[in-house]
Amino acid sequence: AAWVFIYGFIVQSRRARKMEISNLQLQNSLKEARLNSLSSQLNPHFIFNALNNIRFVIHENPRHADRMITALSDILRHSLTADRQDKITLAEEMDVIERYISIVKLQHEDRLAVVQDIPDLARRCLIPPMSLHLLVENAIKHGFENLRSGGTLCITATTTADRLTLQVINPVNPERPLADKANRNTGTGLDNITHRLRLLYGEQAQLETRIQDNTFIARLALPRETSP
Amino acid sequence: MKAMIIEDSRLAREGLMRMLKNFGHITITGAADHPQAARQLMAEQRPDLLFLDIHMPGESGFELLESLDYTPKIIFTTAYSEYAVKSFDYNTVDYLLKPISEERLQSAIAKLSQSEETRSEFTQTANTLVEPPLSLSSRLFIKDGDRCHLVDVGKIRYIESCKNYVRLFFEDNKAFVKKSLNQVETRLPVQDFFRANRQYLVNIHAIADIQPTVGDGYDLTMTDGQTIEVSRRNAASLKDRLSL
Repeated sequence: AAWVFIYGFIVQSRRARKMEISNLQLQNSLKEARLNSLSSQLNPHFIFNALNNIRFVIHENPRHADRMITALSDILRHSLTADRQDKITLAEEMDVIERYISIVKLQHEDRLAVVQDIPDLARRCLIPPMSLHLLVENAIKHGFENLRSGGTLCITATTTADRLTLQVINPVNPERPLADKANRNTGTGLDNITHRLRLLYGEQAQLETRIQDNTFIARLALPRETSP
Repeated sequence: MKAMIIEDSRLAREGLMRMLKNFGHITITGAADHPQAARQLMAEQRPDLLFLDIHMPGESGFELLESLDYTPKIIFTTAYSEYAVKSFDYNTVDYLLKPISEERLQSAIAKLSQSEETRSEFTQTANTLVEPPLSLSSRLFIKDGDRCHLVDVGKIRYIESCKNYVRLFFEDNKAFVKKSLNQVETRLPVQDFFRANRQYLVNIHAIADIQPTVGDGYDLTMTDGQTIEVSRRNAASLKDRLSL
């Protein structure tokens, strides 16, 4: 009987170890998936260019450099924690977007003007974190970075009784509105959002993009939800 | 040494200029925020060296290089590491990633003076050792594996570069020679042989047809039907050579 007991014990502990290993593997792959989605969210060139610009602002205007460092930290923190919450208020998202734009302006200075029209009612609505941010990043990366003369970026929000609609509009270079490579990258960014929208809202959310009269328009429509 | 900075971010441009003040032998003669502006300045100043960003609005640093009629030395300055391999296609001294450290900039500039020294040494030895150039009527003895050829230089239609070898196309034959295309080019008569692109050296007398291409280059059709592209960079010199 003692032998049977010992045998049983060995089998049991082996089984337990196996379970433990497969559990760890699962956790690992989850983490990996998370890291993958993160790395595809914030463009590393943005960070390097930002650091390069800020390091020269230090000589010109130390106080502004100080602000830009904290702004960059806020952006990084937001993008790193974006996946911990399903939804945040539009006000919170816009906070980070404004910091993002202030950093991008170091690079583009007067070439980039920004107009936003976001009523208070819309600011209280909930959206997936980084969603509007990615649209703005797209507009800058594929719109402004191809335009020598620069232009105006428009961010607008409108609400109806049950819908929230966000729009990001940017000018595009008529000579190369769809540079091959740029297009492919836009694809991944937008695919990312579409995928997340489907998980969160099913068929209730839409992302549409179109080019019209040398402007690129991204339109994100969501069910109107406010924080409890 | 005359140098120019081409970079769309004002901060990065002025910052690099400040960093370069520590290097006495490099004189920044100009700075441009866009390839278009750079082309104009370069035409006036003919800098020997470019500090060149790759991503700029509307036109890349690579596109600028393709459009030049001479080949200055390049030190790339970019936030993108993925173009390092492509940078080898140009007269690249170094590839600096932003933000650029003082130490890294220093080593790039050290490389610059190194390549300068070896070049002058090389041209000295080359000048003393080089064999007299051949003429169209010269004959070459070529041993390619088991086969031997006696080739009239004038009968060579074109020469293709294949790694450590070149392949000569002449009459109904072709033969490999273990030399670089650059080495071969120095031996052939300049007025008869033309460097169409990195891969081909062509005999001007063996061109049957010439057509312009969309990219400001030319497509050559050789007497044997082979087509060879003339890169935009070399198109101007071909035109000069073939005009009255």
